[in-house]
Amino acid sequence: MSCVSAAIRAALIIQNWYRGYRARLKTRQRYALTIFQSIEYADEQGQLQLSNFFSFMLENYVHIQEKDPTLVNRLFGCAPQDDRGRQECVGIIEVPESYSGPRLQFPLNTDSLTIMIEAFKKQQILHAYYVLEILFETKEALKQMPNFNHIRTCPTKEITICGDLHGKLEDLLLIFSKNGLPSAYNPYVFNGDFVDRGKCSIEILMILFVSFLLYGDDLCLNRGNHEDFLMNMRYGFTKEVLSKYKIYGKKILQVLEEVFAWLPLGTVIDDEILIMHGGISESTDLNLLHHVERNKMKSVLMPPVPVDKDSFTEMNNKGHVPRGVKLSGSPSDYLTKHEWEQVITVFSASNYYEEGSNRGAYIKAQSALIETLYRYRSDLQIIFNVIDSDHSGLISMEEFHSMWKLFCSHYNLHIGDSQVDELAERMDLNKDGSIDFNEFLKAFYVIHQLDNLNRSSTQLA
Amino acid sequence: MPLTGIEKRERDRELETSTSCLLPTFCWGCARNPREIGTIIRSLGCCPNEGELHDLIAEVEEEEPTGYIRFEKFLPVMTNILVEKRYRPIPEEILLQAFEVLDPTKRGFLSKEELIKYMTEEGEPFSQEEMEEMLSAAIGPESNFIHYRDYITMMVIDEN
Repeated sequence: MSCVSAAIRAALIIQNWYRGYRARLKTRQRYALTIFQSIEYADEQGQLQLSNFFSFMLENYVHIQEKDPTLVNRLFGCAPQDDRGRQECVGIIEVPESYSGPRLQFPLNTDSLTIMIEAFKKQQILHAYYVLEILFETKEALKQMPNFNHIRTCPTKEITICGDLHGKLEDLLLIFSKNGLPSAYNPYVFNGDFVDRGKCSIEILMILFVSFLLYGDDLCLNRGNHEDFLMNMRYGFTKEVLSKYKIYGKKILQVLEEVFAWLPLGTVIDDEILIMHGGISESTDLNLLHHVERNKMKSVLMPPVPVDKDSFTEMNNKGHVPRGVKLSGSPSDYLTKHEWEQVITVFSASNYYEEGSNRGAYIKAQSALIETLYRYRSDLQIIFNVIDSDHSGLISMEEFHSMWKLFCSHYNLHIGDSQVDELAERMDLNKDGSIDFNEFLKAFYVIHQLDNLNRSSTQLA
Repeated sequence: MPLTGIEKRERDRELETSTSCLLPTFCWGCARNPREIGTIIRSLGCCPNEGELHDLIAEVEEEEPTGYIRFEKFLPVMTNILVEKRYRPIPEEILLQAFEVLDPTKRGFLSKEELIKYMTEEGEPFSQEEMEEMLSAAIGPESNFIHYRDYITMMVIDEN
């Protein structure tokens, strides 16, 4: 056995083994990606479903409006902009002596940023007073900006572009520790999806907004599909704010709604590179995007109201002007359908306006009600949250009934009124005519489980 | 002990399932790129060398070189390989011995240059990409030596 041939055989063995290892690694990565993509896709389908539901309601709301006008206004009306609110709402908040969180000076300076970051590392919560001040300042600054940020590279300055943060403060802090804090010499572009899912969405927003107020031209923020009050209701940001800020939470969410709507659509680097959260397609009209009034885009889930501009009234599908229709505000408060279709793809890859998407699913005849509630629980949650406008966690029985009837007709479900009534009665635990929504959902989850165990003895089917 | 007819069918079905499970991951449709076949076969636990792989691909490829492979043709060939337990992976001890052959003075390590020379000039040489990948896993940025025992252990743990 010569040394040379032994070496060749040895090399063959090592190569063979390494190629096998590499192939298995590659397959594992592909699996991970496939799983991830299915989860994302399933999510998108859910959102599409919800968006269709809102479209349906819009098309048919005439009937609802006759029976329940307040419901419709709650869902589709714009609350009057309360600009005079700033002095009044922030002015009356006092930061108590006992508050141990970070205290900021206005106007902000570089220390403000470091003080805040240090405090967040120790899991302190910034007082609502500072949050609101920052939000109002940010809104004013964003209003001055065009739809697209413009930034330039130069030999001494590298621009760092960051993707979705989704409330993960540790990730943002890691980026800053490896790459440095934002400054005039260290520009950043944050490409949307700052909030939802993670637990520190508000802290991330505070850091980003303070950086933006300090370094405006060098800290570019793009709006993502999660910078959207309806998405926030479903994906956890609304809950986070209400739980951290309690009585001030509602006001913070209101101001945030506007701040989000004023975020720019994208960033252009050196007039050559375009960065947007959802990207563009061949049909994207960049000129339109430059000129559209971006703040009218409230939510990716709420389709635009088709409006007859001559006489400001709502048109239904057949082009008739329904009786007694009244929308709040004026035609100029709404984007046209064409504008909306263009803008929406910027935030999210999926086109929520697409025809022929899945509508509902096959429901088994037995315990249809339970199945339905369980299957559509996320949708119900978001719809109920919209109805529960004072975020009290309670809805009245009538509101529940109206919503439920609508839901059934949209998804073509045939569930008897008496079944719904009976369930609603049960859910009103303290018999005061209102339902605690969280208890409601939890109870149904429980029933769903029990139902599988006690199929034969259920009385609800 | 030879399998009965029923047991054989059962086993074949199982093998078919495990192969089919890779389908969505590699987006089969009804055809697949030949280069990916190597990855698929290796992920199923078989370790053909490059020469053997080349022959396998020739066996499942279409008559006209379309650049695609049909699943219907691939499945029986793959099932056979699994049934016959061909191309078994190399045991850890043999792998260690292979490294030791390349390190005759038993230092316990190979230098980067030595590894590159063997892997890219002998046997079935690595492409540049393969070489770079192997090195990135094997040595740290400061070091120039591959301590092969540690390397093998790390790879084996990673796999499991």
